[in-house]
Amino acid sequence: MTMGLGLSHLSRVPARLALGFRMDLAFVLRSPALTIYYLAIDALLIPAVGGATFLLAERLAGIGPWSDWQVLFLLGYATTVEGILSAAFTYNVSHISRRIGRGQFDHLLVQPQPLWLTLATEGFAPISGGAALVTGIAIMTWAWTGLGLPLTLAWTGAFAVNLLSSVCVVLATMFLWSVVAFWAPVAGEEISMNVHDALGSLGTFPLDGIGGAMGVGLVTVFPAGLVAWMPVRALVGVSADPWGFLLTPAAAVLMFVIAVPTFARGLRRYRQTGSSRYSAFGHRR
Amino acid sequence: MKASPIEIVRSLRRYRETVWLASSGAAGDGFYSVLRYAIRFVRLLVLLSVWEVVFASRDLAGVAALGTVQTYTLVAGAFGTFLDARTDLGEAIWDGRIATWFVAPVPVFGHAIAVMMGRWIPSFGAFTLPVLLAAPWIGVDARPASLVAGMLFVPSLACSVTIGLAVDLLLASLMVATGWSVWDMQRLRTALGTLLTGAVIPLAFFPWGLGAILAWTPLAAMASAPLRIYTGDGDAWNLMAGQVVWVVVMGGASIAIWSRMRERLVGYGG
Repeated sequence: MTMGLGLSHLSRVPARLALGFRMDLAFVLRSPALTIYYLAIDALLIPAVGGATFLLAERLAGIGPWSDWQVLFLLGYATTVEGILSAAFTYNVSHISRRIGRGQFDHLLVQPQPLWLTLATEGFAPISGGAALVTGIAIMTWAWTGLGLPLTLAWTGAFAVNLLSSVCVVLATMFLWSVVAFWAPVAGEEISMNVHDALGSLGTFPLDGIGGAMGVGLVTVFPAGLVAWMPVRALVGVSADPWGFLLTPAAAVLMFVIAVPTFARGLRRYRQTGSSRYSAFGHRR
Repeated sequence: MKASPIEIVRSLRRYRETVWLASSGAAGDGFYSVLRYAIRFVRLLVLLSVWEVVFASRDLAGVAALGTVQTYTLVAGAFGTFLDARTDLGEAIWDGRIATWFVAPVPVFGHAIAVMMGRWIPSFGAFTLPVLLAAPWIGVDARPASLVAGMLFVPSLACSVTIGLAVDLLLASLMVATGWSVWDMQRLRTALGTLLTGAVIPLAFFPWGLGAILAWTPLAAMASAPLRIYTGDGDAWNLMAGQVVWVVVMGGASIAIWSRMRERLVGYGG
């Protein structure tokens, strides 16, 4: 592994992504029928996680201060965040605790490039992983039409920045909790999955009215509120705060600043101890 | 010759070590295992708070009472693992472990159930019990609607587990028949479990009369029925009768289909 930040490698990102695209295309062309099946499953099942919220909103003509169209936009936004993760950080890049817990992190460390470059590009599978992204965009577009939101440059910019910030928040949270796997590989192996599931299922609920410590916790320690609720509040006008659209990007920067050194601390331990999952005979404990 | 009840009970001893191993494995790494339960607890608290917001902003007097819905949600969360009973059978087929299960001196599905039950032990001790005990502190009445409701909840939960296991067998059979991946099967089940069983949102809150239709399906028998019995929503005996019908139908169908599909099983992966 190349030590240090190695920002000079930034120019290699497009080539790595192009390689990921070609490999994904080869995978798709090898078995188009199977790919269509995978895409259909993704397109249907990923938004289904938030389906309960939508059904409730449809039944009650909204939830709290949210109209049913606003809830639909929330669901589309959350699906799009999930879609970006699925298309750009697959192969257990986002579920990094699995690689740590299974002792597979070495596969990343032996590559002749900085770790960040591997993590940023290795999971790029835009075709086979892109179904949820398409579904999410379709749901948002439907809701956007129903809400009659303006398509201005300012709104589009705020939307794009918030969407990317939400993706960053989810990734940073999964990496932060995955640090547990450096110390407890068996118990921690699936922790990123647990965090991901909980963020996904809670991220589709309007969290208005949840105050106190839990309200703060849901936008900090366990930021389910940043997956979709807080950014969409600002984007669809549930929040009257004119600066509300800046909250999620600010939180994303903060999460990133916390996640990187914390993960690096775990990585130092990994470098010293390696994985304890395998016995001397090569069997996984 | 038919086995006597005593012999049947004795035969269950064969699974004792498997249950113990699965239990200790699931509790491995002590404190860190508790983090998983902490995440589930946060999720439960959020769902309870969401109901407060919903009831504060809408007139739902004709649909349900807040206290009943919160009890429903709390019990659904506390017993979530049991209301969504699933074994490792699909994973074992996918990664090839199933080959070793077939040479073990116990029935394959019996082994899978033993592993599942072993994992339930730490989950029950570290999550179900604490949540029920902590209910008064989070402002929810966790008591059943009546003594009868509480007593009927136990066999109703057993029916729910049986139907869950039948679904498990059917999905495993589907995997064998089609070669579809275990992850898709799991996601299919999770999506259905989240959306249509009533485990997250009571069926009474579904739009377009969907809840009334779903109430007749095995999906509702998996979660909605035992939770409605516990909270005293509807005729408990009718709900139980519906569950028993689905236990017979789903159980019979799943065993028959699996018996055919297991002969077509090919172990691969590793």
